[in-house]
Amino acid sequence: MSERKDEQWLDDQLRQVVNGATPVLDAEQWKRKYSREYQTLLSRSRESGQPNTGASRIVRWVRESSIRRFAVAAVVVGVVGVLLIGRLGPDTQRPVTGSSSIAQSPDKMMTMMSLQAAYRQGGTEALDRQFDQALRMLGPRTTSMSLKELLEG
Amino acid sequence: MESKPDSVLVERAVRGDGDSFTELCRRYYGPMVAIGHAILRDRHLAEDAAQQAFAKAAVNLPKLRKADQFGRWVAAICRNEARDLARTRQAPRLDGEVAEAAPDTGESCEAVKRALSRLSAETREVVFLRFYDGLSYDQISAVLGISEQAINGRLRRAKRKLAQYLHRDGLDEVNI
Repeated sequence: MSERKDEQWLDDQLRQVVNGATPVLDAEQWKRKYSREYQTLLSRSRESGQPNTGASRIVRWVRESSIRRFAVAAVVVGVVGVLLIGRLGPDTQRPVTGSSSIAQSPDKMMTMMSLQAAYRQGGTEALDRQFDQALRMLGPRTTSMSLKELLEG
Repeated sequence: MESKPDSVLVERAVRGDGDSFTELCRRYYGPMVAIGHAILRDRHLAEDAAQQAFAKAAVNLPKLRKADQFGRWVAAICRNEARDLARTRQAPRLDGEVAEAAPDTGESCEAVKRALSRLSAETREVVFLRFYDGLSYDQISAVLGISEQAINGRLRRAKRKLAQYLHRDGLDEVNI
């Protein structure tokens, strides 16, 4: 028996054994049997009949692809990060008003709260200015000063 | 309607067009019943699995990301449905049932049924898709998501295996 004939024989056997009389879907019966699922499908025509705003189109476009979702998430994280850094770092946008507005006397200028306020307003430059101003207001001091004199002063 | 590509019908069905979805169901009913039959080994249960698969597809259609892959997607649903049915209903064995409507053609036919039952589910599925309703390679490709060459390769391997099993079963004239 030739190879071709053998394969033909097997094909005929398989056709007989598998024997698929063409299945035909009775669509109406299916719709009745699975009416809830079919109604769910049909209900989308009402939803899609509503005005399709630009925002909803963009949301759908983003949701279609995981890469787009990741890209949008990355942009959101980046923007939030930039905003946080901007808030926590020195405020360079605000005009530097000088240390005199923060504290009036050198001892008050040197408090942690006053220094922190100066840093927030103008960064390290404002901090330097505050140190300089405090030193200027204190004036020159002798290096040989007793503890008692220092405390009295 | 007949000539509309799957992607067009899917997009319409997603927007709630029942006729487009029904058309998709009609288009893929044969392949789905074949897939169900390969797993369940029962024509009626296979039709149940196919119809349940379409019901799930109707609900979950918006989740289908690539509209042109509807056949592949619904085939995966159908396999799951058929496996669930097989677990719950304890489908009859292939060698006892395969061709309900087929006349008993003798010893060789029985041997082919036994050989088919020994194939892996994946291999048996290709055989069923090809011989169940004379589906074209193009139609099978739409359901399995593989190239026509790959389908041909799977079919040849399936036939060689069947020939081996038949030979072991005493039918030594099969030579592929």
